[in-house]
Amino acid sequence: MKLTDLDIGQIARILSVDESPFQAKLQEMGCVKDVLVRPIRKAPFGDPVVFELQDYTLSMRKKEAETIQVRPLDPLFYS
Amino acid sequence: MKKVVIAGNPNCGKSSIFNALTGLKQKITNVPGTTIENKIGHFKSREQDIELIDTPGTYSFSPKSEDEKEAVKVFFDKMSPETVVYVADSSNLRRNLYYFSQLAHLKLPMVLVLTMNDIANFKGFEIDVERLERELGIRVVRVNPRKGDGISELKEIIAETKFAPHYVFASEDDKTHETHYAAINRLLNKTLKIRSRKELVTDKLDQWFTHPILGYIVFLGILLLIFQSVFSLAAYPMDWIESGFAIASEWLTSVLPPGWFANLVVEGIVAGIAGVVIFVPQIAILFFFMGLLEDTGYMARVSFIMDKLLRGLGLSGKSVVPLLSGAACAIPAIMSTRNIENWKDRLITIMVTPLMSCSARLPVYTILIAVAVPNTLLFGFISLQAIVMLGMYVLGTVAALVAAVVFKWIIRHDIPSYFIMELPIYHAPRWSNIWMNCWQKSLSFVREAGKIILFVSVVLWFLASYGPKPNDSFAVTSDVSIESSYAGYFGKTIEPVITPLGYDWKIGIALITSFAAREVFVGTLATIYSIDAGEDEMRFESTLKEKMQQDKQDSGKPLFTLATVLSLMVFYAFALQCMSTLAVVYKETRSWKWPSIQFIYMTALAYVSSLVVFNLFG
Repeated sequence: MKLTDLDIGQIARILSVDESPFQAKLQEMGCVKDVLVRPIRKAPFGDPVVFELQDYTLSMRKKEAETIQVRPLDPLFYS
Repeated sequence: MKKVVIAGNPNCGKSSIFNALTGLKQKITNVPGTTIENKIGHFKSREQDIELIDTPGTYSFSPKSEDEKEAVKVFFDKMSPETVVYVADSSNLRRNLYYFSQLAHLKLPMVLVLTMNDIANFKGFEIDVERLERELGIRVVRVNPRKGDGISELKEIIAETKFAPHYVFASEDDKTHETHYAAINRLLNKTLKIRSRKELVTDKLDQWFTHPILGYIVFLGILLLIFQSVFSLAAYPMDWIESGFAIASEWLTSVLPPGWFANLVVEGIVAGIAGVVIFVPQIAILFFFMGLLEDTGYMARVSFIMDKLLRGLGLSGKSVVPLLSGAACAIPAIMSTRNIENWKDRLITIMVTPLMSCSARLPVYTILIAVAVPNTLLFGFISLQAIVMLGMYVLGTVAALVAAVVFKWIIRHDIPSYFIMELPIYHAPRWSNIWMNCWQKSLSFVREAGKIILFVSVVLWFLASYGPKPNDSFAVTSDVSIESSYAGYFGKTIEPVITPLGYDWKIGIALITSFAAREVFVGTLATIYSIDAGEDEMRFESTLKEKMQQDKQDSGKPLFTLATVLSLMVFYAFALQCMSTLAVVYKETRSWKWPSIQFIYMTALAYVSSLVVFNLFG
């Protein structure tokens, strides 16, 4: 599942980040394996999207978020 | 002298620490031939002189944008720093420690400074500073630059420290991003406890500021408020500066022996300096507000909500700051494109920013509107002149956006752009940063534009005061009217080219002299109509306006018809009549190719648009 497939507020664990010209940038900003991530808000027109991860908020375009593979957590864990 | 570098992520409070350590004793140094700028300050601690170098905030040791390259470059200097002061936002320690974990490999003595402790506290973060010191093997100090807490302790630690971090973040054969973050997590598992989570004010504010409809309304409202205050506040210091220079000119004229030297000083040099200084209030006030919006974190939200719209035009959310700054002056605006990572996005932003109506165009628009647009009210309360002025700003902005689309199709670049940007938490304004930023931006205008305007002003003074002797075109004489001066000859030479736009040789002279800076247009026309600039402002403007309205073409029709005035305004909106802008674009793109293209496309756009406007209204 891709990061863009998550609903707002849904928590997921990052599995991997696809190779791309911005892969290193995403990883430096903390998008690495096993990190928990949660979409919190969309910009007007639905793009870019703000995510919460590593105790801060990071915005990225859908195009970039699509390269991040995630597995959603069971809602029972965090609700 | 001990050389110390201060490093850290953007928005971590690095500048506040730098300001608190060095006070106002700091300066910007320019590395010759490059755009590299480092802020350097000094302080004394434990009998040692310490030189502190500030670097732009960066997220990693592999820089992505021009300003990040500047940040990292300091570690590769001939004289590499002896100590690194690493500033980290303790409310966001995980990501802040990533760049730290990379710098730790340099084996330089380091000090870790924790800022934003109140926010960390609010978020429920409990950091065990002593444990962190033991694990890392370096000194860790909490600092609150706003209250001055921890600053004197930090000064002593900087003077004394000689330990490099001994914590192992990665090994030679395993230093992926994952390894670094995993090591940071292990470290924080031992040293960071999270008690509870509260909703930050940031989340509530963002519901308004990034709202699909309200977000744009708030932004537009803030913009209107800013421009309103820029114009009303700047009027006072601009009056003082004008009268100050008038007094200075009068005094110099009375003191200096009459002759070419007095003329050079008064009409060339003093007029040139006045032409620079007069814009400082507007530019400083606009940059004060821009700094306020950036420092509080609001500007990142503007980039966020504008990104989708601007992307379609070949720009990015990060183009917002340069474009808005362009309304003050294109020079600092173009320099502020350095945080745009993608070369194509950055280049397009640089190419279109000079189309935004800068402060130098304002006096030109003001006099032209006064000449041709009646001072009537629409619907009983909206001034028609104000509408036309607003229209000029809109025209510049629309032209910039359209030009961006065109460049998007022309410029070939394979690396796709991205927009991966932190949305920092909202802060109360850190005034010292904002004043510093405002001071430095204004200074960059005075320095970059100042020397060129001064030089061109002196050259133009010569061209307008001297001309060839009758019957002996190789001899120079100062006994000329402006019509028979060199400038007059140039004006007459280009007259055939500008007649289709509705201009005559007098306007031609003003066009040429405007290449120093656009507002010289006003002064040149005043010289041509031989109005004494020493008169007070109201009289000066109304006399110039009357003379312009009375001026006739050879055919007997008035020269400044509505068609000619509108054509001139459009010309000033689009033409790149600013040598300083070209110089800065050359510096930032490191080639003459882009400033040449910029000059040609803007001048062509100006010529064609003015031609169309003149024929539409003529």
